[in-house]
Amino acid sequence: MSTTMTADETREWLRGRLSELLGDDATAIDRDADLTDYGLDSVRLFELVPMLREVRADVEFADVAEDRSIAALERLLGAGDGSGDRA
Amino acid sequence: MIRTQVTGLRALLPPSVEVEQWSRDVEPSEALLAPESRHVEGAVASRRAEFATVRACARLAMGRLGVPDAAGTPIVPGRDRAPAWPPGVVGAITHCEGVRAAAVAREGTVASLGIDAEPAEPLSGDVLDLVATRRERAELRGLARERPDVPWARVLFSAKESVFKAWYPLTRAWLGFDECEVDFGVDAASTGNAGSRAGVRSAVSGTFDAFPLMRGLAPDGRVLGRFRGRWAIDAGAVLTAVVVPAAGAAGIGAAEDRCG
Repeated sequence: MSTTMTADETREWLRGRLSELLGDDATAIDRDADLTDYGLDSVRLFELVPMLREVRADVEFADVAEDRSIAALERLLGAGDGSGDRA
Repeated sequence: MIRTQVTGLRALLPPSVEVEQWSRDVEPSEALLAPESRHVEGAVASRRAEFATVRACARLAMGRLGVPDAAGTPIVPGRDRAPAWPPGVVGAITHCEGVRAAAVAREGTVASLGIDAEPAEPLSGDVLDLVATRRERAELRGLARERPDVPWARVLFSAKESVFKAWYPLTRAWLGFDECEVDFGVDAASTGNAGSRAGVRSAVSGTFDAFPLMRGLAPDGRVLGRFRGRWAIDAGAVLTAVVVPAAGAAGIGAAEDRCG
């Protein structure tokens, strides 16, 4: 998998795409909040997968289904603060 | 004798299941009980409203079922996101544009149930690839030739949502959308429109059988090899429902092995 984005750019990209997906400004959403509370329903949860694969090709549905926070998605894309490793 | 036509999820479920379905939201501050309110205090207004409304629906349905203090019974999601029902009660909730609903039953008659509502619109190809097996995609192509007016991919998605909602409380195990295959049937009363380019007619409904591709055991020891459900397109929504009768309960057949 190759990406030329820095961690900061990845985080910004993610917020932008989430804003499109949720139809609302995602820039102010708390990193640890459950995105279900911001309208991430089950179909949109599936739509997240091809979206995230633009950055990380091996993302699977199970990766996004359990922890539905921006922090978890950032970690999945290797752009979490701290180690950036997957738990 | 005047017969009122049964519509919505009510038409998809047996009499042992109490259903409440609304098309509009209640005022969340009036409907939410304290533990529920805490659960959605950070949520956007639309989420709070649908969360509150399905719980108002659930309390009315539980009241008709005879659950003591149904009106004062909070339904709070667990860490696994599944709603926690009072002892002896099984149930499911769903919401989508224009549909808010809850369905509940006594554990003694129904082992588990699932309901789901989705907008009656196409599903993106990317999502269909994630939720349908190769065999199902072929089945959907055949169904689309027969009934091009039905958004089959969305019906499949909804059917799997209902199956998962019925599966999870019995097994406490994850069942992926690609770990279950669904066969659809169309009710005789709604056939005869094949090839029509017209929009979805008001009365299109049918049955489905869902076969989990992984082994699931219910607490009573039964193998959950097959789930039976019903679907309908109703007022712009895809509606699906699955019921697993309690062991020994009369009525629609219990889940059984595909080959058994």
